Amino acid sequence: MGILNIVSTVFGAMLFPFLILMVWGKGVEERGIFGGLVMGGFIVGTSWLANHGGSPLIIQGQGAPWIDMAWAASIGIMTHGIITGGDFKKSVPTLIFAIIGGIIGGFVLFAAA
Amino acid sequence: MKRQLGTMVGGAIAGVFVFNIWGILAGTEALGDAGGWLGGLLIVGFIWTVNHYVGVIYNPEGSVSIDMATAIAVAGTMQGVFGGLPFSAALPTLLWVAVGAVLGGTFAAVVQNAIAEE
Repeated sequence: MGILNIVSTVFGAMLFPFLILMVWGKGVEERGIFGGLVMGGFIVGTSWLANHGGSPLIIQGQGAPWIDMAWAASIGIMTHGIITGGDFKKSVPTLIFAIIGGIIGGFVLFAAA
Repeated sequence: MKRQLGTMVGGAIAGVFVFNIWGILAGTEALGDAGGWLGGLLIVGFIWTVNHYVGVIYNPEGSVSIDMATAIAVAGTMQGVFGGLPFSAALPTLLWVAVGAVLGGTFAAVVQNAIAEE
């Protein structure tokens, strides 16, 4: 990856967890389930256009498995949790089972394709 | 353990929904790029209510939140790995995505803190 690709990839990965953390909770706080749904549409839909749309910010490797902007959300939200004083040890089982769920999902996708 | 069954099942469904359905929306000619935007609302908005509003993915009080994005990210990458693509080819992208993600999470914590202090 050249320096320009690195700059756009880092920026694209930065904006997604930032927007999720700043806004999604507010939508839920003010409008409950409906606020969460609408914020989900705006944050994820618009970030997807920037990161994976016509001129993608996150640059994929050639012949490489897909690196979705979800990686950025996952890592960014964990970083935020650790910085704000969350107990990471309590999260390890959920992290492991979320990864197992992801592997199962990946296999089902492979099987379907 | 029963709560972690929810984490596993909810995570797997999220991964399958995102990568099986998004392509249909984004690939629809009539919708164009707007179809990709709709994926956020129809797929992520919906599966978020299941995993995080209802709480199918278990995040105990006081823990670091594990977002369904973890399962979605792993599913998207593993789909290619199961299909025979080398994981190593994705490492540069993954590394720089991780750098950006740490920045984004940190910036959000700093800015939220500053807003709360006012």
